[in-house]
Amino acid sequence: MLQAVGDVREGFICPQCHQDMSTMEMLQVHFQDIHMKQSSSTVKGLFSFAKQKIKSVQDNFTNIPNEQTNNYAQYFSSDQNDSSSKPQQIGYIRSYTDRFKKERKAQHDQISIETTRLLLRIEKLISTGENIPKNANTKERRKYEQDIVEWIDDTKVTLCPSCAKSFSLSRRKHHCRLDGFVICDPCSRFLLFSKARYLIEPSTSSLPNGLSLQHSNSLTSLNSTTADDSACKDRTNNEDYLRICLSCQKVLQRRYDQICFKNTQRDEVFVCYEKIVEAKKILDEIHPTYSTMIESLLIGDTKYQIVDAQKLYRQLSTCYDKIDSTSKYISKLADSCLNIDEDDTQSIIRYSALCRNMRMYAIHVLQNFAISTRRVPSEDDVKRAREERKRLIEERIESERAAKAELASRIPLTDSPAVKKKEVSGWRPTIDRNLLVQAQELNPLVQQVYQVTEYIRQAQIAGRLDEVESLKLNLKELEQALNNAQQQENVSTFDS
Amino acid sequence: MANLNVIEAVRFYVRRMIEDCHDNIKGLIMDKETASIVSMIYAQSELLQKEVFLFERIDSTGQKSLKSLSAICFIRPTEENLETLVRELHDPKYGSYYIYFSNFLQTNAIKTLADADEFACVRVIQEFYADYLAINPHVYSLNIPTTYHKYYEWNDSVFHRTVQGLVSLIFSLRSRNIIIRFQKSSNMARTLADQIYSTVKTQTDSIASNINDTSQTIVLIVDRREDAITPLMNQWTYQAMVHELIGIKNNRVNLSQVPGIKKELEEVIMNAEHDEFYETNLYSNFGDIATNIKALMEDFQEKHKNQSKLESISDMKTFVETYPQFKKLSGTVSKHVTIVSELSRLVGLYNLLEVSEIEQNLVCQSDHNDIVQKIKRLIHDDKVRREDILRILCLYALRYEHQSNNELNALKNEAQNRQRLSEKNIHFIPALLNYGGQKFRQTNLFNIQTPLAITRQFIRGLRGVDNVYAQHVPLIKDLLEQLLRGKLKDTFYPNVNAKDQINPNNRNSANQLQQQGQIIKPSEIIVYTIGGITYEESLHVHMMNKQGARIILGGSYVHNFSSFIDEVMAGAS
Repeated sequence: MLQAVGDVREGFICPQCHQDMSTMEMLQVHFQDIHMKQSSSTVKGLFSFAKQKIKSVQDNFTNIPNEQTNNYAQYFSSDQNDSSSKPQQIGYIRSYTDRFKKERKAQHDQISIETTRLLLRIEKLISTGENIPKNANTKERRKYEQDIVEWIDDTKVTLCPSCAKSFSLSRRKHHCRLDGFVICDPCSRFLLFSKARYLIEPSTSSLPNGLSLQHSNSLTSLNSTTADDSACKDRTNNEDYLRICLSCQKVLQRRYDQICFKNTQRDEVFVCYEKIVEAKKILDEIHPTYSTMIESLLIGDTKYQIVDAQKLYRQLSTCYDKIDSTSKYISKLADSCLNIDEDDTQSIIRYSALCRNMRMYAIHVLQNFAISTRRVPSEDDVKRAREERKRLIEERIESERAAKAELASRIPLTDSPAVKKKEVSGWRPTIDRNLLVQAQELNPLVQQVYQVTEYIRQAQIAGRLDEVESLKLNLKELEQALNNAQQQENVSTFDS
Repeated sequence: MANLNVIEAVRFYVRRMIEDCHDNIKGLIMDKETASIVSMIYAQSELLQKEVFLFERIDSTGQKSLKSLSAICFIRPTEENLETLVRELHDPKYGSYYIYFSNFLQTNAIKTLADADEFACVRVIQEFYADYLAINPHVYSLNIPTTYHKYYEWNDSVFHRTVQGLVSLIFSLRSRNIIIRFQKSSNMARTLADQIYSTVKTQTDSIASNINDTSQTIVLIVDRREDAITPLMNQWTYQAMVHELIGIKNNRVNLSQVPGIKKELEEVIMNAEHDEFYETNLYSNFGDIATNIKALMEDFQEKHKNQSKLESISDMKTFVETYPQFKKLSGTVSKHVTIVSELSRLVGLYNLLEVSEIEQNLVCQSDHNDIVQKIKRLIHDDKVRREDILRILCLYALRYEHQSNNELNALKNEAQNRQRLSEKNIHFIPALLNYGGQKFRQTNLFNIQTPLAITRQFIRGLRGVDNVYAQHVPLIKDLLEQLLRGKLKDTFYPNVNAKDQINPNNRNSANQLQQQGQIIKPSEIIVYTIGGITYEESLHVHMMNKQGARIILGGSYVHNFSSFIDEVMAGAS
């Protein structure tokens, strides 16, 4: 293929005779010599005119991609207020959350009023006081029920409101104990007292055994129709129940679903994942401290001891192990898929994808830490580092001492307070000897000015600002003195 | 000054979605379209690091509930999606829902959703206007393969989708003051322009807050029918070439047809955001890419003291296979070696260099007799693919549509006799003439007469052609040049807002400015092409942007020749 590209006919092909010219100049010469001679002089004039024009137009064509010009920018606004001059922001957003919540609240309030009313009635109906009759078919019981919920007059009701079949001897009229409406037996639902109690206080009373483990969350398993076997059993079991209508059942069902929704058991995966999150939090906390500790140990600082680092490292690695093992466990869960119907392939796929992704995330976290965590240095390493550092410090002190001695021997100017101060703090200016030689020929006052100026310069380089300040004061005094001296000198010469 | 970037615009939205959800275990619930929108800009592994552990389609079933997981729903506000969402909220699988619609909701939707949310698990409902595919920083697509219906008119659902997509683009770039110019000859462009204008106008007040923003955005709406040539040409820059010869779909390239392909390379992802080599070579010429890969490998060889010479692409291929370290080192490069070697195989196999040269000459030169001879020769060349003969015949048909010595029928017959033209393809040529023939066009596509074109040809003649395979310059570039220089004629490309001029409340002072003949300096230009764009056009806009322009190019689809055939045929029936 590379060879193929070599065959490409490109370059300077004459537009008139399509002869291939190897360079721009050759083409120009060729074009002028062969084709221009044939054409008249007016064309020639046109040509040179066009040539000028071309210069300006040329740049506008992208035939020349190498040229990095910015000539389109002029056509775009460069206004400061213009949004385009700022870095790009997130696009427009419209939020409906508030409106949504308002709507939802209105809806929920209405439902909850309804639900609360029914729950209050249920509470009264199932309360087990001494003088309250429980047997469903006694007159006393009926009276008690009617005191709580007024039953509607059933004489004018000829059809069951839910199935629209007419009442007869075989299809008798019944009343819903919660709202007093008339219904037929097949349309009735039966709410057992035990389940009713659960609806009122889900936290304290637990569902009777067997019911909480139903496959679906439907309340129909809770108050089943008469046709339903379990209901018949319940009725024959002598457990007390309430006859309710479909619309009340719906409201209660919703309540039941909500309770279930809140109380769903968390999957093992999520419990496990929480462990990972916890461990990661600790890792995030410890890691920076650990890093600085190692750093300081490696440069021979004595602020931390190896033991400290080892202790932290152990903590780090326990977190590390925890993340690793937990995530491994999670990835194993992917295959087991507990609590999922075998037919529900979608759920199985979803569940295992979730587990695998968690494991991948954990691996990624671990990798990051693995890369950025250095091992605790060995005793020897630290020892060596410390010795090295000690040696360096000693060397520095040594060299300082030597320099001080040198300074003391060279310059008799130790009486300056500023210089003394400098020595104490371990920083010292040096004197350029050439400068000294030169200065010796000068007035001692001038000599001193030179020296102080030199000190200032060095002090500035060393970043000793306070010293610069004090030295400058010195300098000023010296200059003052020098001026005075010079003036006196001038005056004296002038006098003479 | 930072150029607006559509990839960044969509990323902003997705990032915000994930950041606004503070729970630990997140799932991203999408529909078919939003899934591709997100996949264009984020790799799954990238989202995984933000603790997004589940990627689900809204319509996927399965009863098992995952109450500890927070669902971030990013979906289009379609009827279907809303219904699914309502059903989901009645029996929620997840513990909480953060709902983001990619476009405008119907007003009653909020109430419907609020009523459905019995368990109060919805936390957030927002509109995030990321309703388009971001392909490159300056290129977007609405992923509508066929826009035209029955005699080149809109169909309702496509029209609705187009309006939504384009408005969402405008809002995601925070453009509020827009000037819409459209191609007058196209009814579709006019209808679209009107609808965009009114939609933006009604929606802006409730969304955009910064009234002081004086920036102007020009939206240019053009119809593919004005330039039917570009999708017919063979391409020689990397991205365009891959799309033309192999096909890129949502950044995915299917290599399963490549002889001897390895299993893991059957489908590869070509995303410039995650692939440095691809990013730098997106617009490189075919020859340069090979050179670049070669350089990369030689660098590696140097390090490993390998002396074998890399002379050809097949050398490179064996090299990659024998050096697993290299594969590891530069993971993506092996992918590119495979693709480039496949491209070069196809180029040789089908004689594409010759085909392309004839295509280019057909469009840019004007020697009729010469071209006819060349086409005849091509028809007799058995290496040339049938579809390439069709390309050439289409180009010829468009170019010499009303020429007296038109030899289209003779050429067609000859091709048929040699069995180089299938039945279906014969019908394509008249369909194409109907689609983008001179009758429809308002400007001369082969604008040989315009002063600009004359100078350009003159320069070309003088300098010689840089690259015979890149002589053709798509019409859109000329249009943009004219637009920028204020020379785009109002008679051909009128301004929608002009109708509102009488309105005294019109705060859009730019209209007046324009009336006075002043050129507006826009902060950016958004181009929408009804009927799709091509990567060649993307390349030219990219070049302009490199020189300081701020243009965003997009259309209903990114076409290559075969998808373009389908589109033209769909509109013809």
